[in-house]
Amino acid sequence: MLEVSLRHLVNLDEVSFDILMRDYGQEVWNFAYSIVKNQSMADDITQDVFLQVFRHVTSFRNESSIKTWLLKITRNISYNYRKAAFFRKVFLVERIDRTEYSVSAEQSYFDKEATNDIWRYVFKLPVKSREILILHAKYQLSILEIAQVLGIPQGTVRSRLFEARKKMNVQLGEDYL
Amino acid sequence: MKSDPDWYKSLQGDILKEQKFDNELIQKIRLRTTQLGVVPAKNRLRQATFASLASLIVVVAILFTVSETAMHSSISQQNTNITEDEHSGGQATSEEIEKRSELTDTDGEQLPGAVDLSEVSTTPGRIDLTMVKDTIHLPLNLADPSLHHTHTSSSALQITKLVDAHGQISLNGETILVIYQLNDDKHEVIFTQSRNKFEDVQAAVEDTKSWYKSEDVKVMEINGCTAVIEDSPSRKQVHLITAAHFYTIGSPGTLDLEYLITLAGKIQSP
Repeated sequence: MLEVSLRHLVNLDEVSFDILMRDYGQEVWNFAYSIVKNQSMADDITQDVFLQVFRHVTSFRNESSIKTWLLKITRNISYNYRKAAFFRKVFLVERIDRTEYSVSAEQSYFDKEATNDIWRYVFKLPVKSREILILHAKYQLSILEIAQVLGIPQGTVRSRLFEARKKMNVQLGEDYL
Repeated sequence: MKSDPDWYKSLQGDILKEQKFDNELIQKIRLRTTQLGVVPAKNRLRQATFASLASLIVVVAILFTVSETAMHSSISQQNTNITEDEHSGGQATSEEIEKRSELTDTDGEQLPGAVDLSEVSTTPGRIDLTMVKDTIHLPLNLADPSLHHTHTSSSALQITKLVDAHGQISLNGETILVIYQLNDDKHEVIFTQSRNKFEDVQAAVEDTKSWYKSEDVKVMEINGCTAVIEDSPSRKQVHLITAAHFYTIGSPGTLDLEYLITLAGKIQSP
């Protein structure tokens, strides 16, 4: 219902926006967090995602589903945040100590608060393997939808997914196969 | 793709035990969307203001162009230059020049210098020195024509020619630029004069210091005025600061700070 109405809206009304936030907010936050591995950054990204949605609701018209649309926006904004964080770390040498401290604090929080061990293994994967695995396993997206979210060919999605699952299997051992 | 492994099921739920997208975050987003509604209204007002200002500037520029063209033609007909008078300062020899003298007088004394007004052209944003409302403190008579094209073995920098002297009007007010050619025929010295927007020496000094790395900046006194000096390995600049004015002296490509300080001393600041 919301999906149909969104395709025809020029401006997002308050009610539709609220439904959208409540239905997909946590999913957006999770995906952002899985890319940046930092809670406050995930908070900021989630805000930016919904602000972008609020401003440019008409950009949904050509998308296949609300979920892939939101995940695509989330990924783009998350990568921008990652890039900015990288530059801050490289160029502001004096802040490195503080950054490293917050990374280790974030890591210990995640180790304690992750819902299960599998997430801990997923979070050890490189970001490209991690995101593709999460889109497939958690968000249950098809190969075509993942290709749309990541903006890469379906063949690349398949090979990256294969590699990601192989890495996971190596980490988990044969028990999980 | 073969069937999904069992551990896929463990990834169906949330990553963290605690729900992170909570009411607080929703409120923050709502607040920001409300602000978005306010910002376009402000932007519209700003756009309208800019449009009015832009229109005003265009009209003023057209008026300047028309009046200057008339003046330029009048000056050309009379073949009038301001000539240097070593004993009493610059003397004007036509009505137009007298008008300029009134504009450039400092406490009744006319500025020394030789500026051929016929060389000064008009472009948008740029105005003739005669149109400058502020008193001109920058030296206009530093050129020594005898040195022009005289390539000496000496590496000492010397000014050979006045390349340009004009004013510029922007939203920040007037800026006066005077550009000289150096004897190596490659480099130039640029003087600028504008209002001190802080109207306070110390505030302007602190602001100017913040433009540069602390190790490259120093403060000294030149002719009783505070000067902020950029003395970096790759660039030298002198900013002379008074309560009313902000002057800059630089010579891109040259690294002779002593020479720039000497030139800064020639600014006739009140």
